Amino acid sequence: MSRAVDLRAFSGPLWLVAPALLLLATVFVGPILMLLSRSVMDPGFTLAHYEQIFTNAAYLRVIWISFEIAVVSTLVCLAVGYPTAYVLSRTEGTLRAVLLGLVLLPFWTNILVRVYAWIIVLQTRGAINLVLMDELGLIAHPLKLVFNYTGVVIGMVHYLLPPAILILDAAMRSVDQRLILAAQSLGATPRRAFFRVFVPLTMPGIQAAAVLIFIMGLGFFVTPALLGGRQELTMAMLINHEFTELINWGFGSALAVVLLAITLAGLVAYYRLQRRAGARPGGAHG
Amino acid sequence: MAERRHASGAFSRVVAVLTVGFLVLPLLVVIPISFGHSSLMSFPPQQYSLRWYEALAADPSWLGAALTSIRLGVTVALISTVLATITAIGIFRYQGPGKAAMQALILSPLVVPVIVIGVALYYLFSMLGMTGSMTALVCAHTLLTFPYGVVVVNSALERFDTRLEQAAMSMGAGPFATLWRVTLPIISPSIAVSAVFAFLISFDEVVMALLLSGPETLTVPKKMWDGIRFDLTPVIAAVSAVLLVFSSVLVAVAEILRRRSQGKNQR
Amino acid sequence: MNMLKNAKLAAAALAAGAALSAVPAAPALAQSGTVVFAGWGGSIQRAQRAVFFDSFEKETGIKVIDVPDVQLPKIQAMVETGNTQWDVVQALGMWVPQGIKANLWEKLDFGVIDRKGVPPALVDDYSIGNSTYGMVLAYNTRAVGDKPPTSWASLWDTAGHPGRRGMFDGPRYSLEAALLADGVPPDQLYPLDVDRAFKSLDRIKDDVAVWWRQWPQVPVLLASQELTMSLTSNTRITSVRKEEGAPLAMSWNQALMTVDFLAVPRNARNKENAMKLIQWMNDPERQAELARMTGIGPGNADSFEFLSEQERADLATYHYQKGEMVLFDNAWWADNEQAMTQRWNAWKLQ
Repeated sequence: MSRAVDLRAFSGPLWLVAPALLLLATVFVGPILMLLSRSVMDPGFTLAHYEQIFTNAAYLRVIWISFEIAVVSTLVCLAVGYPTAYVLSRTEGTLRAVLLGLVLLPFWTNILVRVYAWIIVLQTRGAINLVLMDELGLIAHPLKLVFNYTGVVIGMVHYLLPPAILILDAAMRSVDQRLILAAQSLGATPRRAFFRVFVPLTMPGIQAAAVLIFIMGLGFFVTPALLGGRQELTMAMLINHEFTELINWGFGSALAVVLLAITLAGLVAYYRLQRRAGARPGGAHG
Repeated sequence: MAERRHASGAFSRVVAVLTVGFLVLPLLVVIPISFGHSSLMSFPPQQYSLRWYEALAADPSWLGAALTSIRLGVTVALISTVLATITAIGIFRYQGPGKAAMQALILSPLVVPVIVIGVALYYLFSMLGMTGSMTALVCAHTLLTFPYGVVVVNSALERFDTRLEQAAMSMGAGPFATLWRVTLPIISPSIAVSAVFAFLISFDEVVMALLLSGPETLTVPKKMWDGIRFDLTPVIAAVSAVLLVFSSVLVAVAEILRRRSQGKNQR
Repeated sequence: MNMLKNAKLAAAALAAGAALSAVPAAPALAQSGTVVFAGWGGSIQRAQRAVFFDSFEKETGIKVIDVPDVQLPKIQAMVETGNTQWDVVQALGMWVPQGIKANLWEKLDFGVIDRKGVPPALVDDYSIGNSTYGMVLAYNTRAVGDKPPTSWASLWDTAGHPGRRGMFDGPRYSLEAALLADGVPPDQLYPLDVDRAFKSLDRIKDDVAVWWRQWPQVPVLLASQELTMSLTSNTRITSVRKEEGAPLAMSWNQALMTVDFLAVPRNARNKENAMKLIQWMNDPERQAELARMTGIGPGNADSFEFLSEQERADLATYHYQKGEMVLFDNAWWADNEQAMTQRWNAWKLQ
């Protein structure tokens, strides 16, 4: 490959990467290792924090809540995102650019603006309740849509949909159309061709989207903190609370390590899925 | 293909329209609220005024926060983009062992939950007595943004036609000169895009700001967080409306730059 | 070539930005320094800025940076890591003894601070009483119609007084309210019968619509009828009524009387400025002005001569002297707060 031959004369490329590696070592890997050590050295070696996390019902509940909210949000995102991505994937040119812009608008908006907007829309005398109660007269009492589980899921889905749609769209556009045509020419109705040929072909994309947005959802802090109620306490919120408000750094570190471990496990699962499907990793989350 | 517009097409289109509406409409709500007169945020507002924008303009702490966020964002954009560019170039050409591991490491700040990185840095900087300093924030934000930059510059390098470099070198240019006068200018739109991304991400970043900022390094998101939790006046709506416009403009700029770089795809 | 121009423009912009970043922040402007005040945020802190901070800045040239969300653990974290970022804090009564135990406070400079008008019980080496509050049951007058709540028992009476309820997401004040609602006589309140309090809380647990965490949220929630009634501090209600004419009212019956203190965290960076600010906030006339605006009771008793009879009626001290209120016991809470918080967090998730 002439490229390599010409440019190796250029200079050992590794020194170009050194600054980044230095940054990562001092400001990323190093501190996380510090967390790990703090979680078991408090002050002497102890597994007490981990023991507490896995035996105390209150903390297990927090882990469960984080999982549950992430799973529910992921399922809603997939259910709603798949048809949306399908429509998006069939568009071209200006229409596509406009649709993409709209889908990405929340993505580029400050998360606090998004959360604040939802509080205004969902609150007791917010847009939705006012329309349903006063304008349309459909309900007599306002719906409880915020400062509870519903509010958190709405907020999280709003945040996770754009990346989900993008991943699914990319997967759909890489499906070879000729396979669909072939199915139809063999007698399949368009409907059958869709469900029995197209959808399975997008399965790697669905899996990629599911795992990635699930992982993202697990670590959520801002959305549940501002939109949730008494019971919507996620791992990320608890970690923040332990660190900055209770200064239990040992325990907080242990929680952070647990969250990190779960995230890494999810990533490993993702890569295994990708390899099995034979799909090229990296294109979707670039 | 026209045949695909059948029954599932109609259903999908309805869902798509509703979804896009779900994504976009709530954001637009902040705009009328910001022009409403009452501090109790009724919707729709019964009386309109510029009251909250005036309050915003007159409040030196918001202006101070805006300045802090801009200073932070520009510093981060600068460092992050330079770092991302040289890293992307270095990695891209490296063909030896460990390449995949290095790539994974460079991208890993994107997949680790922000709160984990955040408390790790909080711990580190607390030990160093540096919480609340601009340096801490710059480090944290650079860590979060430069992987995106690496990805963007890397895709530009992949599209880049190396024959141009070969041509330059065959005409006697040394490797540095080639890099500086041929490669970089051609991938410069992507570099600019990653700078804009880095700025925007830093400007909007919440979690690190909560953990690492101090009274003298208040950023706009930290002030908004305090406002939503402690104040709930529609000044937040005014700030939100301003931010909506601001990020839309920045993203439009980035998109234009990105298109220019696509146009430079020399086969 | 176009792309070179792009690169050059981008580089120029970035360079300009870098130059901007190199310009140091505000302190470079001619100042005699800064002082950082940490308080409770929202309308209270806005009033403090209007009455205290702006005039202090004008008089002394010292810039006041005020931040919300004051919390004792944060102070502890700052002091322990040698990174004290706050110079003056508005402390809950119970934090003073807790902070003394953990060596978190600087000694106050009574050469600068004039303690004369402040009741001796509210001053010690490390803190000076600055403001008094009543933790009351507040409600939206339109939402409750002709049956306004009259005591904590009303908050517990979901049948007799229907509507969405709000409670503070923490044991402080909630335990007292729970016991008083359960019929405990005010003079037998302390030491708190904690088990009885939690049993009482169990009765309304599911009927509470919002367990709010931040004090400034409450008047907004009440005014928009997101909540019909809630525990809150009297000053929040007085402020919103005055600023917005919101239809809110409160019951002083069995309200809890609390005092906030000003203190200086150990190794504060601007100690001298901190003492000056405290003395500025200790001034009787200014405290009277704050009381007029917000219903915050003054810590300096000399303020009362500047207030009319009617203005005094808005203040917690007035109702306390009439015997309507219950004094919040800082000593009990100083000893028991941690245990109570842990129990609360566990109870919360059930």
